[in-house]
Amino acid sequence: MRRGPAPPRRGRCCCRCAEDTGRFVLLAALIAAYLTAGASVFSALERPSEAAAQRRWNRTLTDFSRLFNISLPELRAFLRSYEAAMAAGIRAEALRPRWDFPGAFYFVATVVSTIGFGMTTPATVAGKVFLIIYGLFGCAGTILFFNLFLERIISLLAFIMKTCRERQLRRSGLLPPNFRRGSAISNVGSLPGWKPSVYHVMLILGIFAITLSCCASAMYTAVEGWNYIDSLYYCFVTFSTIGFGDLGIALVSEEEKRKFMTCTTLNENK
Amino acid sequence: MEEEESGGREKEEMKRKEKGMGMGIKGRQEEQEEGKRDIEKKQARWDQRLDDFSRRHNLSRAELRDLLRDYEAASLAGIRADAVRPRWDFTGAFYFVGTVVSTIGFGMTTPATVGGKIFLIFYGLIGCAGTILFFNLFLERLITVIAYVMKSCHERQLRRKGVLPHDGRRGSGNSEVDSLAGWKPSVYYVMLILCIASLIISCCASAMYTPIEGWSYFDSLYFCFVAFSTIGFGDLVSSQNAQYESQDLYRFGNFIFILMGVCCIYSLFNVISIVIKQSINWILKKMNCRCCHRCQRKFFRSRRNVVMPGNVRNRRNISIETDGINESDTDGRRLSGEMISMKDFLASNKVSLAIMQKQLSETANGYPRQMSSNSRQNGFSGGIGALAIMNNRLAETSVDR
Repeated sequence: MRRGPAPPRRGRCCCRCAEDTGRFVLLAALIAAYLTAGASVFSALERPSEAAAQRRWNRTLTDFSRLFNISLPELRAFLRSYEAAMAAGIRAEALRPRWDFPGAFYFVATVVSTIGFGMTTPATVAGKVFLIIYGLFGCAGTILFFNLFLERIISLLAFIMKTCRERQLRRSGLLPPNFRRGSAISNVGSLPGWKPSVYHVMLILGIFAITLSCCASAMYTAVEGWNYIDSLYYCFVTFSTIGFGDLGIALVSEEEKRKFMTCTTLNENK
Repeated sequence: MEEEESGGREKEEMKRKEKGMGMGIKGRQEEQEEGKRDIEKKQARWDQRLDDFSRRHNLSRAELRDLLRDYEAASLAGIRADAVRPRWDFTGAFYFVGTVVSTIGFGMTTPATVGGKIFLIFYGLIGCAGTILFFNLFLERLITVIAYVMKSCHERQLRRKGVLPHDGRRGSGNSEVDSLAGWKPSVYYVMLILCIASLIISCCASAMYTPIEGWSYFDSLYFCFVAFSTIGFGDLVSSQNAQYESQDLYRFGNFIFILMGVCCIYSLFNVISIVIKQSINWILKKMNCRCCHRCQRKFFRSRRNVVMPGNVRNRRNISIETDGINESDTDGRRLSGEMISMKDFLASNKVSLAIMQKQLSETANGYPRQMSSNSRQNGFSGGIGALAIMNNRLAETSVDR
């Protein structure tokens, strides 16, 4: 065991420990700052429209109550029941039944990938208990899957890039002519320790992700009828496993609302 | 109350559907028809309510319809019949941004403007990456602390038994002593500790949510699991009412609990994934053993002689672990015998091109290796999570840490 002159073990260790902890704390501080900045920007972007909608609605409500002489609490109770009826109506008639096998499979996939749209959630106590146990192992396995996928992708990219580089070197005459091109083993001798740069890998992965999102958005725009930006937004929210669930629900809401209102007007015309 | 009725009936319908699935006999068409009949019943009930209301207050249907349409437009912007907290003031936006960046994504607040959605995409890209790094570093720090604590205990034990010389220097992590050299905590031990920590955090958080939010204790536990695992359905969301008692304290407690809970459960997932990977390796080894016995023996022999003289303790660990040789970089010791091993390696039989490629890219740079005779191959030898995968595979992650 050969060891050159080095700082005392303990000193080097403490140094490294402090560096690691410092890095962790600095990252925490940066993320906190990032959150604060993001909150301010979102607040500035969205607050005006929320305030305007609130004002508009309050005016409508008070005008209505004054015009027809109905007390506000009673109006609110009525609206609450409308809310519940709509929610029950929407949830009961999904575009497809929610707990048959395909529906349950879709639900389980959103659980295990931690996307969690929330359009389908277990209602029974047994379902919730099973979800906790099932989710523990399912999420762990899926995290492993994504990690192994990342590892495979990086190996593949490294291999391709190394081959390209080798070909480039050979063409420019830097390699000996009798260099045997065979399996990856022999490559090492010519390009010792060459590894792809993280920026190249990021660029390639970024292009791939953008292409995938654009194609998926094109499909969603055509099939679901959203506009293209909404589809891109939905793609991002789903692929990052954030999974708000707003767009899926909104779609059902629109259709269901239309049906609901049509039925109501039909009854009214009777 | 109407909503309790419809909620209860919906639960009934759900139970019935689940039972139907269990029996496996009900056709999908039957269920759909049943669903349709349910809808018609609900529709009839709602129409009745509408009728009563309009008659009682002498309203025309058209006027009511206009009101309801306005209400729908308002509810798209997040307004509800009962007062909820403002969604886009600073604390509301902070909560939203927290759920985005941790990828929980409850969905109780979502951007409505186009500018908000576009900004979300770019913001989320960087934010989620940073937060994933944060969780991974948290796990790494946690394991370092556990290793340090356990190692000191072990040392103290050995010293008491008189195995250690009294003037042995005590180091943290890179102890000189052979018996502790390269010692790392077992993955099962860390998993146990993380499980206990997660349970404690969940129970405490649930004890906080139950009185303040009014959920049952089990619902609070369910919410804790769904939030901490970053699934985030959004059917139950904490801190949504307009007013709470001791509101600031509650919001702060909410933030701290969710942060610690996500850290622990995310780490727990990663640790369980290591256990799953070891099981898969074991399965692969069993399969390979059966069909490729000769190759395997040769492979073992060459590996034993060439790469890991000291690591061949347990056959179980000489598996097709793709990153098994990738030692953590906290213990760095270079061996002079390494150049020789690579040549021998090149000459040996190959079992898998991918394994060879990986090993060579690791050895090619004279990557520091843990070579003590007592080092143990355990689940953490490759590091954890996505950070570990890219460790030493990319140009920027090969030299520094």
